[in-house]
Amino acid sequence: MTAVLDIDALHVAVAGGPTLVDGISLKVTAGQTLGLVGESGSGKSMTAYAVLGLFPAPAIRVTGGAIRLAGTDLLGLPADARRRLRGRQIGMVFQDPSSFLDPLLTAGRHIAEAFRAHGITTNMPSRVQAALARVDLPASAAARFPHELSGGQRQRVLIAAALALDPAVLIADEPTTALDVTVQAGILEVLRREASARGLGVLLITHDLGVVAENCADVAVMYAGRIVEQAEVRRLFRAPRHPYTQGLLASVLDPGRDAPPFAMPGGVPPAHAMPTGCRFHPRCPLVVAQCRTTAPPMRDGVACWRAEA
Amino acid sequence: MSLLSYTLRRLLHAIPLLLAVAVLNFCLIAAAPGDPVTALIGDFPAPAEYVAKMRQDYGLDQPLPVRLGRYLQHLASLDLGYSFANRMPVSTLVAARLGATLKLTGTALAVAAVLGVALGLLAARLGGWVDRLVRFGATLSYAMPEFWLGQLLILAFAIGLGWLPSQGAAPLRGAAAGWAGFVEGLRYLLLPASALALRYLALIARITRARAVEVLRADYVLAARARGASETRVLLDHVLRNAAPSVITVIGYNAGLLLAGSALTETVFGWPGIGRLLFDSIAARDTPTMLAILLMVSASVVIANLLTDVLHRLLDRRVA
Amino acid sequence: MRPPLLALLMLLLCAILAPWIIPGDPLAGSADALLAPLQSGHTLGTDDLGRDMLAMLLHGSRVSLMVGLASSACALLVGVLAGAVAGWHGGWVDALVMRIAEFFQTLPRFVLALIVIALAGPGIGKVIIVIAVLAWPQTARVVRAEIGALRQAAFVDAARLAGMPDWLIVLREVLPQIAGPVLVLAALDVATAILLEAGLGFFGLGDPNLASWGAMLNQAQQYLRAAWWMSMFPGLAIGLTVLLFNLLGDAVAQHLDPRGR
Ligand SMILES: Nc1ncnc2c1ncn2[C@@H]1O[C@H](COP(=O)(O)OP(=O)(O)OP(=O)(O)O)[C@@H](O)[C@H]1O
Ligand SMILES: [Mg+2]
Repeated sequence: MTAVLDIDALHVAVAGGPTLVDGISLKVTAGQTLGLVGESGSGKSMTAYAVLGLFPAPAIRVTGGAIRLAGTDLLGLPADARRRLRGRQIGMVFQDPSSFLDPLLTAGRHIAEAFRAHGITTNMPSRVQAALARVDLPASAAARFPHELSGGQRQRVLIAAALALDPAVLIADEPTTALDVTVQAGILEVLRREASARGLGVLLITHDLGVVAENCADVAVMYAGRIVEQAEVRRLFRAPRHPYTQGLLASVLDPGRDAPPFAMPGGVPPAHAMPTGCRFHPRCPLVVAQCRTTAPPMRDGVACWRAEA
Repeated sequence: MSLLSYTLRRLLHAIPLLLAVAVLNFCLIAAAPGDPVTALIGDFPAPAEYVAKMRQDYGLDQPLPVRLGRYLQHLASLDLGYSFANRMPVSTLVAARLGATLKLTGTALAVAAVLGVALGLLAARLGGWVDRLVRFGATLSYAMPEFWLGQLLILAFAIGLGWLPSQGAAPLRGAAAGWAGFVEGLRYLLLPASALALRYLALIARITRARAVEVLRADYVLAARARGASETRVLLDHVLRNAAPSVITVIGYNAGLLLAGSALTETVFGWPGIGRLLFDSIAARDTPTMLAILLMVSASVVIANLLTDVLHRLLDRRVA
Repeated sequence: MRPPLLALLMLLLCAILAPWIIPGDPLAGSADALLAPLQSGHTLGTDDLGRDMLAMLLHGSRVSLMVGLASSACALLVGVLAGAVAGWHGGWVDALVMRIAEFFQTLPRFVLALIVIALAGPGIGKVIIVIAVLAWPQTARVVRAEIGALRQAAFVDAARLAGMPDWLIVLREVLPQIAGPVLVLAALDVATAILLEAGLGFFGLGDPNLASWGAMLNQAQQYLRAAWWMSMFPGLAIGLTVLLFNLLGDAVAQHLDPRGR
């Protein structure tokens, strides 16, 4: 199958500053969910913002690569054409549903905003109602203000607004991180259902490997602005090949195992002080001299000099 | 809590304040140097029988609390005393001037609010030199006394260029009728309203800019853009709406500034309103008129604050 | 922060040294009435009574700064005291003080000051007191809020355990922590007070024996057509002084919270 969203050697950098995303490539297939995992600060959100063409600070910009949506390179498009794709072709759901909803607007107004942004102004109440129904919210929710909704309901409103115009791609940036475990399951179930019903390609960003296991077909592991390993989910869980992936998996609590979860020492290096060579080498238990000097290329789904070791 | 019950509660809160203002007024009369009757009447040779009547009416032979009660009674029946300087009851005098002041302050307020919000949004949205210019202009304008600005405007546009009249609200020969009269009225209004509006405008532009900068950085604005909302829609639907409660608070809670400014501006431009009346009554030591104006202005401020709180609440339902 | 501060110090110096820079009574008239600036030795011209504008401006700065600084200092003192007592004590004392503060904040400052001075008669001391009485609540509110928050702080508990009496804790440990925001308010208070004093002068309620900027503008009003300089220079002086104090307040605020604005 061909990819709806094809990210090719994407670079994102702060103007006159550090590189935040350093040449990553991802393909999202229609009807499938691609997981993107990695520790905090590895550049997952920046990748998502690059696809949308929006960055939280004006100094951050795409400095190289291509982002193709159904074959068209988005980076060559003028700003207004980019805007018209947002919401219509690419939907986005964010991490913290409370801060991403305007406190002074009702839930319904948020959903209506998606329609209005694309010139649709008729039959608004019934459109809003239909969008709410898809995320299992009652029609009465339309008149509620964000502070009158629970965390899970807020996230459903954001999802309803993101899916209102039937986009081809949905980017979900840690959609359940800020929610209770019990609420998480419901949100993920809505995402799964909508993705398969509409042939939606989903890029699901998360820290949670459990979420990946349940929702994704393929998964990419990101570390310090680069992809270190990419594989089919079951294979990655069965036989992780990059030491970082192995560490990530080992740090998850496994109920069938007595040993305490493994805590990886250290943290993601800051963007302005990236190590040379393989960026994981200062934390890697298998490090050799080559790792310190030369970055390993992505070969056969893994970027590691010691992958066969 | 519903808006209605909030409004009622807020109203109950305003009543003691209004009462306290009236008591303060009474204290000013009582504490004024000399005979309280002089304070009530002013430095005017009043007929002896009026003085006697006042003494009895206000019970000046009675202890203070009783006098206070009588004073409040008079106020409750809208009796603000008699102005000997103008030979008419103060309430009549004030009522005749109210329209002119409302016209002036209303215009200034509208101009300041519209331009201030527009400039604040522009500065926040465009940033760079526009932002710096607006902030610089606001800081400068806010330091300018209204009455001096009024004189400068007269120097430039009335005396220098001769474009606009410098005194009064209408020509001495009487206003023209219909459209011509309206345009003429505007010509008289332009300079005093500008002088009065500027400091307020600066204040509004500042708060609007500060809030808009904050809102433009908010997550929900990013989310709106991610839905495809254009910059215009973001500005109107999110930034303006979220800035509005703070802007309205600043506008409402500075009503005193506007009223003080109007007293000064009216004096500079010979505008026949309450402010000019205050100036004249001070010059003529016409105490009843002065105190009535103080009472009115204080009451207006209390009411402006009340309206502000209710409006704030209407715009932002989260407030507990 | 530097340039406004420097300018303020210059201004203060001029005000203090005024009697030595231009000796004599600035209010004594002469035959040289309504001379334009730069004519016959009068740099800024003369007014309708032939008085030198520069001399009046220079001496007028004494009144403006005196009223501004003294009333702000009084308001600061009362505000800090009331706010500290209310914030530290809490309970009914707090409620009472805040109610009073609210009442004073509601009063229209300028109009009330006008009327009080009109009734009580002009005088610099009265003006200072009236302005201070109207200005303290804002300081009190800020101090109260900050102290209320600090009361539970760890270092306060530590001082208490060490046996320090409450008033000493407030004085030595708590007040220094809130000096910043209070200073900002004080600077802005000076600016407001100077504007207010000028307004009183413009309404003819200044001390008739002292030169003041507001009174100069009052006089200028009748001579706008004949002598623009009578309005221009006193207005500039007021605007500039107020601007400098506002800038000082902004600078302190920015220094305290560099992210802001
Ligand atoms: N406004 C900004 N200006 C400059 N650098 C930024 C900015 N925002 C984020 N960064 C940097 O970009 C890098 C990638 O951040 P990003 O938000 O993409 O990480 P993430 O993988 O999404 O992490 P998380 O799991 O915490 O969301 C980080 O090193 C971060 O410090
Ligand atoms: Mg992120």
